[in-house]
Amino acid sequence: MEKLISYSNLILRLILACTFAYAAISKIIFPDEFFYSIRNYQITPDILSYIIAYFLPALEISSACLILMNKFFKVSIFCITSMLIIFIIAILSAWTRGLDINCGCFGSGSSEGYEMVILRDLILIVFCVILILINKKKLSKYT
Amino acid sequence: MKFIKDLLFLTFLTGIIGMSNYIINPNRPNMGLAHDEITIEMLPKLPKPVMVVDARSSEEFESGHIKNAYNISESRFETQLSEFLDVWIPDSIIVVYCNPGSCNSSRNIANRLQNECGIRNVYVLKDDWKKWKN
Repeated sequence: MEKLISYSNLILRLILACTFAYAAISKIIFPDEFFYSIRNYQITPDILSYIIAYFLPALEISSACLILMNKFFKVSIFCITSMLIIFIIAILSAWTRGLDINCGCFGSGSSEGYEMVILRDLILIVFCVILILINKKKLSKYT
Repeated sequence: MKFIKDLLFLTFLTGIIGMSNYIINPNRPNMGLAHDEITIEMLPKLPKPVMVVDARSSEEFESGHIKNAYNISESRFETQLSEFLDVWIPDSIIVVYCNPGSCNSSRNIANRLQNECGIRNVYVLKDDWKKWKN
């Protein structure tokens, strides 16, 4: 049982790390396209969209790297879960306002429907929750 | 306390990566554009199909236009719109242009296409259309 938990821990961390690293890379290469994707949501002023276009992918890749390290598990899982919740809120906001936009999740090339994006983010949140439960003992020691 | 320290470390790492990307990366966003405005450089990145609308007068259109462009001028909007809707591809990207500088026709036509016809994915070309032609 312990082995299974340990493997699940590793696999879930790898899934989250790979997903966030993959999402970050195209945005880091093309911050201009990501800026236009953020602006299409019509939530943030241009200057904030500009800052997000550079620093959100950086946060994604940093969290992706740190989640693989035990030492930084708590802070990285906190950031990843927060980002996923914010992404869902942004998508829901665009959806309810009737905007027909590209989510920009994996750069400008991604073109899934809103339902798929929300479903994917919810699945990733479930992974985060499982990871938190698996590492609960470690987390309580950590604080 | 350790959480705060780690959070500061993550912030620092994010800052370094973000700033380095800002300094090194040549693909800087153009903040001078509205959310539905595009430049010629951005055109190849648009998903296809792309339909081009020339918002100038019919006389100006006849004297030269972007290849395969459709003419919808403000003065003949109703007639030319119905001709355009006959060939309109529903999921296409529409790029509207007029003369560079003080011309507002492209903006007005783009607004009418969005508001009166409910067409989405309408963009206004901010560059000189002749650059596209060439």
